[in-house]
Amino acid sequence: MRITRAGSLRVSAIIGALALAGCASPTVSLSIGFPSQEAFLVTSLIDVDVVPLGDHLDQCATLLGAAVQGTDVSASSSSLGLVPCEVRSGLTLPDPGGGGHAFIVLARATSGVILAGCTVAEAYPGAPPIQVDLFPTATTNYATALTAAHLAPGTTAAQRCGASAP
Amino acid sequence: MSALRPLVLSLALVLALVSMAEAQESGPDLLEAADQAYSNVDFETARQSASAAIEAGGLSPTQLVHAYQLVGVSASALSDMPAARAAFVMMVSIDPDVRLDDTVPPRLRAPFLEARGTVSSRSRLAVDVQLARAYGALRIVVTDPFELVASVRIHSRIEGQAEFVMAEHNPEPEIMSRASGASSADRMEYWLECLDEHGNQLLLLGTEFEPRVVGRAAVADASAGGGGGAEGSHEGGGGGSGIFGEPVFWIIVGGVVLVGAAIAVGFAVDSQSHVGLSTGVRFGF
Repeated sequence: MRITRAGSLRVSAIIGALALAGCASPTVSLSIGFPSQEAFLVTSLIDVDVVPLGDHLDQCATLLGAAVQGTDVSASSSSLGLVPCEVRSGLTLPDPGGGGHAFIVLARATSGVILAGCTVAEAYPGAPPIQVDLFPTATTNYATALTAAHLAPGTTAAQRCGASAP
Repeated sequence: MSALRPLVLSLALVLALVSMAEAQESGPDLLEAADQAYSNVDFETARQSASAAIEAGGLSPTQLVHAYQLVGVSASALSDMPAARAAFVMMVSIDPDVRLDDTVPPRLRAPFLEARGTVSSRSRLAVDVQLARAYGALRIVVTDPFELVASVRIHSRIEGQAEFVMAEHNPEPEIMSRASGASSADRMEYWLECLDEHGNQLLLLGTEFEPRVVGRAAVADASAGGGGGAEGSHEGGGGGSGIFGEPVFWIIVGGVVLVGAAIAVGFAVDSQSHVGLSTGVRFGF
């Protein structure tokens, strides 16, 4: 049995392809739920804090309260000041690390944090999408922010983000 | 005939007594007696019986360690610290991982801790066996930092044969134990005993029923069958015939190993959750 040089090159190419495929980093979907398109349009910036929980997986309410109040929540990764349309079209955020985490999302308007939400989940290759639903906060009056935004009737997220796209 | 009868009976009685005495003097029996004495808190008898068990020989490595432990603990209980230390040094030299039984009171443990300190700085008793076809022998490399080994006994056979052939050697750092058929055998099976001066087993590699194997790996054996010829040339690294002589083969083997390693690393990294978060939004949940 003789192995030709061409054959060995083919094998090397396959090996290289497999190695590259092995190096590709998987992603997990982080889906942020807004109560309405209007709420999305009012939002000027989005913060995402990821807090490792260890064995204590019931801290979402406490952490969310602290985050809304502006207290440090010891996040393993914080992505602050994200543009809503970029979040909508898909940003890749840093690896949160292994184990259970609280995924805290704050939606800010010019008047402060208008929406907030928290979900406990674990991000790992092949994990189901992580969904964080946002709810109006008590600290800032959502209705006031809506009024201040001066939205044109019938404006949609697609129009807003389409217009702001480069 | 009747005149001989008392004589025959006397002789039978003497033989019976001798055999009983011999049976009592076997190492394992004496060790059992030592255990019994230790249970009865008779340290003097425990020490004597355990020492006698060691001198009688025939103990397995586990029994030998236990015997030295009994000598050490009993001597310690009798406040004979030098003897206790010496026994514990022997015990730890044979098995560096040994621990004292939990039932041994703390006050009796001091010599053991000293012994561990003495022994831990040296390499441990070990034996390595290789098939040296060029010499038609099994090459035995003995590491014996405390010079405990009085003889090395190896039982070997060509793989598949029924009977082991025993050879006994004086302790040397390197022993070439000639074995019939070793120059042409693919693999040989062996079990090996390192014995102390009393014939106790200090170290046991394999057993008659679960022997160790030295020689070519099975995969090399299978490939050599197709190629024909070149028997035994791989051992010395010369020759280079057949598929193993092809550099391309080794490149591919190296590549496969690298890919395997990359995949393993990939899995390890994956298991540590190296994932990105890909964002998206939805409305009116």
